[in-house]
Amino acid sequence: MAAGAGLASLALPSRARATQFAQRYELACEMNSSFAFLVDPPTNNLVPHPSIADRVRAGTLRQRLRMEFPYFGDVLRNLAYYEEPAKPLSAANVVPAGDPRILIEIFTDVTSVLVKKDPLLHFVMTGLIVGNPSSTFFGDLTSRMMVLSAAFDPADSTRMRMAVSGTASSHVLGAQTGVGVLKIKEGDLV
Amino acid sequence: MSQNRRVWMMGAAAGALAVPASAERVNALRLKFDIESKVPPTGVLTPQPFPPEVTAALASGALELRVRYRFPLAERDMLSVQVYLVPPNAPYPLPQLPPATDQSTIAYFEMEVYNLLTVDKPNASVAMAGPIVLTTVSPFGSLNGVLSYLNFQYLPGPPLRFRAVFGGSTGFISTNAPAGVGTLEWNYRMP
Repeated sequence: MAAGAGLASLALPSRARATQFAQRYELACEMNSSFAFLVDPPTNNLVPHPSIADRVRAGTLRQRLRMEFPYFGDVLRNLAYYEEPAKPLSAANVVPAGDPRILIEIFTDVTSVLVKKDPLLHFVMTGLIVGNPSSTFFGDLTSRMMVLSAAFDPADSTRMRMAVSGTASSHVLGAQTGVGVLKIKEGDLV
Repeated sequence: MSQNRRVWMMGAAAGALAVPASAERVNALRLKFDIESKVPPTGVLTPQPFPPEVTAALASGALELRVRYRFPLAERDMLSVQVYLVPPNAPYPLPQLPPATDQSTIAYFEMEVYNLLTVDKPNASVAMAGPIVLTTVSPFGSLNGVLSYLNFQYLPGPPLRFRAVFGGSTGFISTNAPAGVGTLEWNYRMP
């Protein structure tokens, strides 16, 4: 996947290391967002950008989650954005950086990946956030920890069963329906 | 034996540490904690709901959902997760955990820690992940083999405090709490 604009400000790791996971895994998924847990104050109310708040309240825009890996290097892109309900969920949808519908955009340098195919295809990624340039909702999350946990439908590995991503300082976002593709290009399963 | 067990320690303790790959080994992570969190009803995400009576009791406030995370277990790199119910005025943390077989416990499982990520700046945080190797009780049936995770921030204090305590079993349940109480000790050495 090609890196989008606006990434120059990312706090990429100073250590020059080869990618560890980009050659092994490829993930693209998009889900209907159903869950938001904010730490401070504890609430589940994400406030959309004022420019689209009326459309969200009217139901003509709905929140989605996207995860894309590798966005570049070993970097995972986590996205919460608003889309028209009629537009189909698709792993191939493109949401460019800087799009005003973006609510949260987080780039994470992935440091570990665990993948299992049994009892269902699922994985856990952890890493350190290198920037969230298109979202001001939580302030700068650079160097915070991020965990992504996701599972696919046991009966259809192109459908997502549940995904949760969060940082141990600000929030967790979750979803229970969606579509996605996880390609395992070489071993390293648990 | 896992080929991808690894530890990343960032910040003051910079560097990647290789960890031997057997849970039979003593606690090489030299970390010990015991954390309890109160999970609000809005902090639970699961595609398979709890039994109706549990859901109703939580929604009405008649019971409170707590999660207790303990690491290590018997000096091994194992995390126990106990999800249980208490009256709203129960001591916090609960001094004596109910047995895993007690009806107040709605889930108890143990995870073998394969990966640990810890940072000390700008927020001291810990994340760990690995497969569940023991399920004593669960509303979702056996979770053995499912990847689990725990992520929290801690403020060394004193008093030691925990924020944003997130844990779960991938694809089955996510429990999220704004805070937690308990103990945490680095460079822990076994007795």
